[in-house]
Amino acid sequence: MTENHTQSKEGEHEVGKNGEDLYPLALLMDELKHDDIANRVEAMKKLDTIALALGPQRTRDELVPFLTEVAQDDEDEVFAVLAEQLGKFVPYIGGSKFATLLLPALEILASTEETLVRDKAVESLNNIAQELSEDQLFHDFIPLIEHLATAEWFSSKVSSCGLFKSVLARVKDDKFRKELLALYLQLIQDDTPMVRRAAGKNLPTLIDLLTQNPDLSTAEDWDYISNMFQKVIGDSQDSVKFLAVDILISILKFFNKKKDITHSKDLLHSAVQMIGDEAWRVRYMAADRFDELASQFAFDSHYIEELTSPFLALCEDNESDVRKAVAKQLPGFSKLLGNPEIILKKILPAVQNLSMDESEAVRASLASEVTNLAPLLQKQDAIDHLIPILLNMLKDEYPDVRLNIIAKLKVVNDVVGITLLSENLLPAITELAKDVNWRVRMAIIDYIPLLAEQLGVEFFDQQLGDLCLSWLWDTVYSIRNAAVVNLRKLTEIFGSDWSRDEIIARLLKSDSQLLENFVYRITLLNALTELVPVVSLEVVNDKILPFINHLAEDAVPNIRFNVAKSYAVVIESFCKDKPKYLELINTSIIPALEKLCNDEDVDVRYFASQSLEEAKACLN
Amino acid sequence: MNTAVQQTDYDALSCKVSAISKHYLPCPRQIEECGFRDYSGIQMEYIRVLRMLSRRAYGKISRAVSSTMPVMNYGTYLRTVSIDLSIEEFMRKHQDEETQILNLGSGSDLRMIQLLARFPKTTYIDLDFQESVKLKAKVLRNSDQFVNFFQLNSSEGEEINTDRYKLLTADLKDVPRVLELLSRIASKKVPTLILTECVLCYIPQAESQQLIDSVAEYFTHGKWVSYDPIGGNKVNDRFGTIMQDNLRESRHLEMPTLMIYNSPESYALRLKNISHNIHIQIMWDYYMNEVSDEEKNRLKALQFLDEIEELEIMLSHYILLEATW
Amino acid sequence: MEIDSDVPMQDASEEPLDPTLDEDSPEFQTQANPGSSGIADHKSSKPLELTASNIGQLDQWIEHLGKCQILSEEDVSRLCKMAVDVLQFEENVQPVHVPVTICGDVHGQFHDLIELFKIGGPCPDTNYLFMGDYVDRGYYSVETVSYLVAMKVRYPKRITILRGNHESRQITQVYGFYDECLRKYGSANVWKMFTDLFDYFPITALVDNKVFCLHGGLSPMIETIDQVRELNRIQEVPHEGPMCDLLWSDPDDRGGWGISPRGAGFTFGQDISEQFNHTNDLSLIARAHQLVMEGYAWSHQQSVVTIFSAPNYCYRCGNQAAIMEVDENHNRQFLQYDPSMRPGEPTVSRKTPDYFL
Repeated sequence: MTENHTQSKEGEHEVGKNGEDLYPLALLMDELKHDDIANRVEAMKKLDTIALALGPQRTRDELVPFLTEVAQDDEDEVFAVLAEQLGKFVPYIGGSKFATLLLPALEILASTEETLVRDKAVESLNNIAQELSEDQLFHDFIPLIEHLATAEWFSSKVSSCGLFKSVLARVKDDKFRKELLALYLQLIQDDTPMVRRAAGKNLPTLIDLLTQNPDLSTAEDWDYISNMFQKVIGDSQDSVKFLAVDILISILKFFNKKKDITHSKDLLHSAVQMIGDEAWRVRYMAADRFDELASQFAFDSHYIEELTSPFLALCEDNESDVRKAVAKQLPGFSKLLGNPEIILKKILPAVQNLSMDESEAVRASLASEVTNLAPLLQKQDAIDHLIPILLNMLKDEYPDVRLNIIAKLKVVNDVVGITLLSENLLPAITELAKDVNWRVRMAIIDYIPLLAEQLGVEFFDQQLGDLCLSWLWDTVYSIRNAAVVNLRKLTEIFGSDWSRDEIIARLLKSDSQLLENFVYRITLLNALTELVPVVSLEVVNDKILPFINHLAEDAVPNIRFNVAKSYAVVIESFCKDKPKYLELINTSIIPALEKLCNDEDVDVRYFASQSLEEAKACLN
Repeated sequence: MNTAVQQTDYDALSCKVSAISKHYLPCPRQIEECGFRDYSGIQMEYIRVLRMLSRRAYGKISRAVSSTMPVMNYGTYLRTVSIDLSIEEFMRKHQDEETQILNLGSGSDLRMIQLLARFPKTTYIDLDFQESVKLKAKVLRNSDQFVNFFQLNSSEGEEINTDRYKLLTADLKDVPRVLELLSRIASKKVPTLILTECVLCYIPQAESQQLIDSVAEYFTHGKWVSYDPIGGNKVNDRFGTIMQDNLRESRHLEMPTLMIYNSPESYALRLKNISHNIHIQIMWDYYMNEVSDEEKNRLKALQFLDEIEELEIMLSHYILLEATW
Repeated sequence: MEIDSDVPMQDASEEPLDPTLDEDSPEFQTQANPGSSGIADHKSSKPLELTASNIGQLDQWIEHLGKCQILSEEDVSRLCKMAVDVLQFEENVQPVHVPVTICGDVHGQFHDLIELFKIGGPCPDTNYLFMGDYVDRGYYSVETVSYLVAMKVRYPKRITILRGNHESRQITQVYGFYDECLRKYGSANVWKMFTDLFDYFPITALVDNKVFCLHGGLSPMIETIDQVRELNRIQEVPHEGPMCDLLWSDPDDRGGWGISPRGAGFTFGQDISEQFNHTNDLSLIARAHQLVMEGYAWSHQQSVVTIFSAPNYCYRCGNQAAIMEVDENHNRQFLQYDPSMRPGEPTVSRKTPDYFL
């Protein structure tokens, strides 16, 4: 098959650059009427090619009107592609001055019931809006928003909420901007919760736009925004109300940027109100964003103080989802509090409670951040009060809690040293190492090098050495492989001599019965080969190479071709000191490889010849 | 959420069309015992009109039909036939009396045509969401065949309300409204068969119990026929939770009581307030016990059924309940 | 009120339904012509010998497929032609040596196949024997079968792929592979190539003369393994007869031969298995074909084992999967596993397993 043919799949309908063999529009239309949806989707995906072939004029005159028609009755899959394509269509219709031609089809798509289609249409509309002139915005785009926002069907209104961001900051005329905000206020108070939700969700983005253009908005604009915020915070539906938290954060950012603190007290009041809201979703949102919310008040420590007891109330919330969210905020808020005494007195009791929470998800969430409290406390306090909590969490029955603590131990080590933890750390690791779920075992192996660095060689040898070796004999391949990589990382940390005495020597004394199974021979071979680049050449020569040689005549071909691969690794290392090892390479390893090149097994021959080639490249 | 539930009608419809096009349906018992006539013709007429009216709806259905697996055809066959036979039993018992059939969450089901044609003393009521009712009414009103049959005199109208057939809008979660509607159109004294075919499973526990209790209480004599999935209550049975996850994730479809009424025993409890005569059967047992060997062989010849284990797992998680009072 | 008899009405059996709703149209049948893909038009008279450039090509394909990306139609054609020249020289009873890891149905669950290799180790370091049913049901049949065939061509001694009852033109038209090819390639060409290739797959394997491996089970027409060797396997899976049975039968608690509840094959009892193992000096029959909740299941007092390697089958059944490692001393170990996380795909509500709703 010629080169041309291999590319022809993609280019089957590709249009000649000279424009001669046009993919006829009629054919596309046929495809778009095909009964099988797959054909219609494929045809849609080729729209850009077709448009390119048709040229801007015909695309505008024929294709776009046709697509506008398609947008009225087809299936969601087709719509989704069409909505996406149209967002990239401006170049094909002759540039931005014609861009508004694309709006009618997208407006229809922005009104469909399928969220995915709507989202794509809104995204495309926003893309197109970037290319529109101010004139076009006023004549076409803003009317489109108004049209959608006042439509009867909720899906149109939902889509309209996502479009304001494209125009709000570009409208310099105060009167027009006010009109837009008035329209948005209507959406915020719509009858349908879905619309109110969409409006509430998009409001922070709009406020952030005003923050980025601090001199744009007027006091009247802010009356509207304040009004919207009040509407959202008073909404009857929890799923709308909880959006008020993000809106408040955005409002606070605006005033902070303006260095305007006249509203701070009121806004703090709103914040406290939401933190204590009777709807748990609202409290959840406040808990989830607590750090960000509170830091907007960081300019005044009294405000932070006032937030303390609401914060602690969240830590004792009835809903576990709320506690789970706030558990992650402990270090962040503590940092805002600043005073180690207060943290000790007020925060640590809450930590203590959360660490014994009935929900494992709460405990796991706490575990993922709690160690970051260590640097915020006096060292002795951390030892006396935080460490016992951590020790307990290392004994948690839920593996994720233990894993999360272990993953973040570095910061504890930096403050108080890890030895204090070591007593409980070990059983925790041993337990995780035996977990029935192999992905948990995998996770703990990944942390071992980190721990090794922190624990130091002495503790490691005594406690963890055996464990690291035992993973090599796991029944799951991925664990064995992780164990192999782990040994290399440990060697990189503790050095060649350590590896020789503590790892290699013990590996070479492996249980001979175990090694009757080729799985474990191959693992051992992989482990020793993995160590070759990170131990001294003497160790390779004295310890590792003899073992590899010994497997060169193994009965299982898989072992033999891995031996061949290992030889290449050994040679590459030996080439670092050619004067010393050249002879060995030439008289021992190369002949061994040559012998494997004549092996009865095809794969052994292949990998041996590969290794031989690599060896020759190294030697030259 | 309502949309997600409403969409399940397309599943039911496409399953039925598939089972018909592969000749699982109608089965000999439907023709001989239930006296069905032109079963597939009626269904195909519905699809033909649907195609003219909504490419979207038709597309969803035709795509599903083309990829329907034999295991689905078996299940649809069993579900359809078992319900038809159960209705037939009720109709025979009250052969010479006036009767009512109330199909809650009827979707595009066309049973009313067979039953109205054969039982002149029967009134048939289909209730469903507004969108479903609208579409069904539109299809029925746009087919000469159906217009003649129901003697409809206008092609306009989002509901249908003739002497003997009523296709009306109701959100079944709004029980007071359902009762109010019934008080206007249904007689309390007339023996009534109530059908809920994959309907109760989408309604939250409290509302569904309220619906069952109040609707059943409304009718002095009745039979409730319900077909639904059950989550399973055996150790290591993950079918129900996986089903909930799958449907929630890909279709935003919730089944709030799937794991509550997870066994035939617990499902039967839903009717305990109204009936002391409850019969409930797992569909797998139905297949094993109620389908004759001859019929099994007929089914086997229709398509290669590649595995029986999967069929057993699926069918073991669906039940047919019959309760009379 | 009665159905108006003036409106002409016909029963389904008399008139084909709307063609888009019926797969039994004549057009559909003609697509199943064996050999029409042309992949076997220029068969070699000796096994494929890999050259450096083939190997480079195959390694590249394997890497590409490993990311769950399909090959181009032209590349599938080249791959299948190479595969014919590997598989046509394999035997009906393909000899396999220990150590080997034996696997059951995969059914297009590509991500779970990758999980399988994470558990059992990568090929070629680990030797594999797959007992069929690579396609249908799952959403990634094309990727799955392309990957395994590419591995087979690249490492013919390290991996053995047997034929399952789903490696057939007829079954794949019902159970998804045909539709998937059409969807992913826009035509049935790739489906034709693979189904033509399936005719060359060996139907059984014999692990060091002790473990007899096949997809389904025994046949009343087969008493000795030599009889399997005499079959002409290069054909579409027949509806009946010994080759059909080997791919369709199931062990059963009842003794003797029984009628299968499936569309084809038989059930066979412990007496049959024991006799067969005795006659052929076997220690075990390993087969796949049946969904078993633990991923593997013994039957007939450990003379037959069923292995099923598609966890949460059809994304719906909630079962575990398993593979069986047989080491060089014939020790056996089962490894069970659960579904891998499937990467979420932001498509319109589409890939839901079927339920009755």
